[in-house]
Amino acid sequence: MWIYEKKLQFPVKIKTPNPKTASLIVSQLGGPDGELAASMRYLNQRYSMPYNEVVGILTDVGTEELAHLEMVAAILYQLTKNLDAEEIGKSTLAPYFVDHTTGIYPVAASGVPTDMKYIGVKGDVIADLNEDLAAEQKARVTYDNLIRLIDDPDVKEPLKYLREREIVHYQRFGDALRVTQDRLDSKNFYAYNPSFDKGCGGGVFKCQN
Amino acid sequence: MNRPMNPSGMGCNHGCNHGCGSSNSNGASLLRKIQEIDFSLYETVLYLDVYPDCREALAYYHTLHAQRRALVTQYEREVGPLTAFSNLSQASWDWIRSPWPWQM
Repeated sequence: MWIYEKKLQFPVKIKTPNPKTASLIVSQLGGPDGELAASMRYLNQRYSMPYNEVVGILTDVGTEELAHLEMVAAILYQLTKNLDAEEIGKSTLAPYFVDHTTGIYPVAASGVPTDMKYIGVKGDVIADLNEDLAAEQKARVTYDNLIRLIDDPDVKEPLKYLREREIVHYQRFGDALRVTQDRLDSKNFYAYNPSFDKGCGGGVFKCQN
Repeated sequence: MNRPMNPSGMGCNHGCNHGCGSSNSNGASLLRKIQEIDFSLYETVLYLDVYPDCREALAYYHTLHAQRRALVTQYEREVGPLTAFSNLSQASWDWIRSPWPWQM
């Protein structure tokens, strides 16, 4: 189970609200490579993982992504605080404002609400870890793009922190994949799915011994 | 199995050899007690969230909280960490070695 801690993982203190910036960053809340999708991807994948190292890293990264979801929400909250309707109406946040006022709702920057179609759970350790490696890189690129578009250092600093975390997660998922492959047949990692098949002979292709 | 060292330089290849895991029945009954206390504690927390001035509820919260702390201390000493931030062993990363809750 989970217990909430009343703190952000990294401080968010934005002095100048900016509706346009908010309309871009919202993608890391509810977009295809956002923090909500990341957390749901890892926390749901972990049940079928055959090795404790992989269950551990998926549990702990999936939990950290929830902390990132909160950081992104805090950024959005502070960017949209005390704005008047006229400022919002002239900005790219106007369509979001119509549906959600300045509440925090997980949508992509394009306006599409979040969707579990963004994540994959294949029930196969190699397939799922490769999905996760790609997901971390896609999230890193999204933060790269946001950092390119945003000038305010108050916003940039937490975004740079979140970008770094994507890189660390990518490294650890790479380690998890290596730990996994060390335990599989080095001649053919794909001979059987350790999450499903029951040892030699249970796989898609019957093994030799 | 020659697993390369990871970039942080921690080469970890030793297995657990001191009976980690919560297969002992004392562990199971301790965990059950923690689950029961947590249920009461959570109910009290939800109640206090909407009735923050209820002194009776606050006193009950503190009773439960003290019980929980004692049980968690005992569980983590005898069985294993309940959170990733409470791995007591200096010699072993027990966090991933005891069974996951859906495997018990």
